[in-house]
Amino acid sequence: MNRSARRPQGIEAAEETRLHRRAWAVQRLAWTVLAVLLAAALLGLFGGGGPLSRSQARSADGALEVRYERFARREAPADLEIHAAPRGAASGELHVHISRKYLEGVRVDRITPAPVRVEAGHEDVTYVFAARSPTAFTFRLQLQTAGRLQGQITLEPDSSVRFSQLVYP
Amino acid sequence: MESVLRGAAIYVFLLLIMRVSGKRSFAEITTFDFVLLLVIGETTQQALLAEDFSIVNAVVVVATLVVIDIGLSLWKQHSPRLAALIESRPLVLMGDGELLEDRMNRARVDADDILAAARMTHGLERLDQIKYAVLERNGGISIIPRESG
Repeated sequence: MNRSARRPQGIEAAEETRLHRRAWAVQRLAWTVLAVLLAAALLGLFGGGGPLSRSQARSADGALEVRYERFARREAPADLEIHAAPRGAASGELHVHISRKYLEGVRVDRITPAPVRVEAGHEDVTYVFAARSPTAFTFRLQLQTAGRLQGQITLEPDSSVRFSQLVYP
Repeated sequence: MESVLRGAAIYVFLLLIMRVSGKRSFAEITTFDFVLLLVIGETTQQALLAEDFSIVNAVVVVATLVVIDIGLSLWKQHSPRLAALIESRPLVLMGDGELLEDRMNRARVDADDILAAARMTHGLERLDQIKYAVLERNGGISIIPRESG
């Protein structure tokens, strides 16, 4: 068959209409996927702010509330807020235990306000804060491992909260 | 959410800057223009990524930029006014063999630029061989030669 006979208007361009049609269809599909991805990102499903990106957990007696990033990112700053209402804290000290397993997955960049002292234990690390009234502490963290990260925080005497974060790579 | 907003803000800013800088600026890229582009890239990178070096952040930022770009291109197809706003319109610099000095000054194009384009695209030697010269939307100059003979 004559090579040029297959070409419209005699132009010698290696045109393949079917290939283009398929490529266009794939493109349309990809645009839709991208748009959905962006909508999810705006909602906060990929972390980094947004209405769904943060969550909170409250202890049964209501004395301890932890606000954390449900969807977080590795190597990005993440805040962990601990709201504590001390009960009969005559000593003026609040003892907050954070599980070692959780602390192994994060890097603590700073704690505001700073704890009076930190005690390392077998299962957990105890942060001792000076406080007489209901208050809040913010841990500025950087999450070090991707995947699911579980933590347990206990406020003495017996208010305990468990939470879980999904850390994206 | 923040990554998407960052990406959108940078996109709009760069679009404005490029539009305001004039169409000649990056059309025929000189070595210096190229260096300038690299510096702009380096600088905006800071704003785009902030302290967040996660892969998912990079994915979201890139997706944001691409989706805005696709969205604008679709919108431009339906709205000639938007296309004119973002991409401008062609400008005739030389009509029927006559240089339109006023337009050339405004567009920062001189006769040498037109001659250069004429040499490169049609191998023409003199201005009087050119019938039309048009500054196109992409910043290039297109030349229509006078019929010879």
